[in-house]
Amino acid sequence: MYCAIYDIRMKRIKFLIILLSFIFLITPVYASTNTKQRSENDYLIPNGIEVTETNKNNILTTPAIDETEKIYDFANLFSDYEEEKLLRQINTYIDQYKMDLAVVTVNENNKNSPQEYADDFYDYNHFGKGNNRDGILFLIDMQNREIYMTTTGNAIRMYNDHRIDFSLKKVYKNMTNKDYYKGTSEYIEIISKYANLGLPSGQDRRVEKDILSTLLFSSIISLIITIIIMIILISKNKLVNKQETAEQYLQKESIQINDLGNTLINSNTVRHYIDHDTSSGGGSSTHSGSSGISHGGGGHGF
Amino acid sequence: MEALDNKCPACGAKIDFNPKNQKWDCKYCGSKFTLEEMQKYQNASSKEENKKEETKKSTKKEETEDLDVYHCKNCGAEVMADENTTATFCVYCGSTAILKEKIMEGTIPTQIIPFKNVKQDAIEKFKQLSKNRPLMPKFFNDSKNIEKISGIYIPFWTYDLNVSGNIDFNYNRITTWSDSHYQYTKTDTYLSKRNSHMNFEKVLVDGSSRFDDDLMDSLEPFHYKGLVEYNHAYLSGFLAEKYDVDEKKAIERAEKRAMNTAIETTRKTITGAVATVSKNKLNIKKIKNDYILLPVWMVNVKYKDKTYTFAMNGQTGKMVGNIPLSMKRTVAFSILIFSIVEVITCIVLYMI
Repeated sequence: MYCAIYDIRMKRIKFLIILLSFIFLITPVYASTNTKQRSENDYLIPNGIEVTETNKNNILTTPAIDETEKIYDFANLFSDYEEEKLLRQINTYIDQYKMDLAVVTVNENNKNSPQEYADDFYDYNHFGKGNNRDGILFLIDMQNREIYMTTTGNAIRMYNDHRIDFSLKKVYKNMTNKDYYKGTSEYIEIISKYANLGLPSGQDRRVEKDILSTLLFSSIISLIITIIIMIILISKNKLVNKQETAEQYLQKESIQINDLGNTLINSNTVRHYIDHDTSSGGGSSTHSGSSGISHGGGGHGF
Repeated sequence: MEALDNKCPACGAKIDFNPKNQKWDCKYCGSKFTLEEMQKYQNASSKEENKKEETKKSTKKEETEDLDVYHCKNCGAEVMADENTTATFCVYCGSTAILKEKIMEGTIPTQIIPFKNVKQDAIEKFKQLSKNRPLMPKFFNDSKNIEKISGIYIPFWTYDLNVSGNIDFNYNRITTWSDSHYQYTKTDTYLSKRNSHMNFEKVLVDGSSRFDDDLMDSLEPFHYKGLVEYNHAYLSGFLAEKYDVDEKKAIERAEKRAMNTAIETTRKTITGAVATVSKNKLNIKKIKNDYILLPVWMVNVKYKDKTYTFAMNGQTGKMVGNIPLSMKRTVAFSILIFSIVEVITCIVLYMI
């Protein structure tokens, strides 16, 4: 009797354990983002931002978060483990380049544009290093299917339009393939490389160069050079050459050449349309959001 | 007519021409003789005799006794040697099946450049072939590989030619300019007429069909300052070949070479464009031709069961011939060069 009851209990426990572990397995664990409530009494905004009638609504619709978390995954795109890894990358970036970095994902964008959301999120929370609030915010906007980066303070100069363009172009495909973690991680790598190079000075090709195409290119050059050198070396072994001219027997003083005239017999003019393509790499274009803080930035659909 | 006998006027032993001092040295008694001295003792043909020979070209009888002609049964080559130089093998094919014939036909050479360097110089030059030639098989230039080395006077025809006439060229002048929308390329074609006249002196053509024309061409230049009046005393100690390419046939090559140079020289008067010949009315006239003997060291090399022929200009010491490539070394060098260049270009590309 006792044994039977024990048996049934054991079975239930076993079943529960299996069920729980099954659920655990199929659903990745997501950490929730803690948000605080803003009110007209306490806007929870950084010092130096004036609340006006025009930006009041912007402030109130911006989530108030803990600026030390750095990853605000409202759209649940990353697992806990992935968040951990990203956070390590982000902290390394912040320590090394003295610029703030935050990653935000949203399913619903309650503002007019990814740009506005990103700017407000950055401005009305306590992001940024130093007086100019140097830093970057990277937004994955699932509603508009756009990735957007906004730059503030020194980051505006560091990431000119060309660099922003390149960074986003390089990673947006990952987002299209739903590999949000990989895209974000690569994005941080690229902006780190740029920061490592310093302010734009025409050296950007070093970051943008694909290792594979560089190898291919150098291989082709090396192959051509090798062939030329080998031809020279091989020709050193060939000491027999048929003479087809009699240069050495020519009596220079006997040469008399008279010009009997040159006549134009044909003229042909061809024209080609010149394609004026825009040059990249120039400066950073800026805009300012509702807070009045100046930002650079750019986006790319996915 | 006396047979040519290169005997030492002092002791009567066999005497050879020594290229080092340009004299005839007797190995037995140590006497040295100049050409004049040799002529005095009637060893060499005197000027009068040479002239006589020239005038009596039609009567070949006299010449027949002068030189031995060796006839190779294997390849058909004919080699001349004076009676004291015995040819034991055919210099062209290496065959020992050669027959001595006392027949000599054709004209006597008018001029000769005597040998200036000796057998040892040719061996040294051959050994130096490894210099700056990393792709040569390692032991190829070992003197042990030299099978045969022989000093031969090779027959050449020389031609004095005159090239003159009219020649027309076409050439393009290309100008480019652009405005804000288009780039323009204007191609003007011109016809340029030239009247050209020039002389060539002593254009060389190999008179022996058994030596490759290109091998003989490669021996050039010979310095004509070294040309002296032909005297068969110079042949002592060396072999000499008789021409077998007719003067009228050989001139074709001389004309071709002269024509190419004439066109090139005239073309150079059109600067800044690549001109192509549109009409060539240049005429070649032969002013004079000569039959001369030039000194060549033939070096036959056997390496790994293959034979290679090298030739050294007996006047200037220029060595020609095709050196084989070592497959191993070629591959190793290609890989080495490729890797070095690859590393350098990678670094350079990264730095830019």
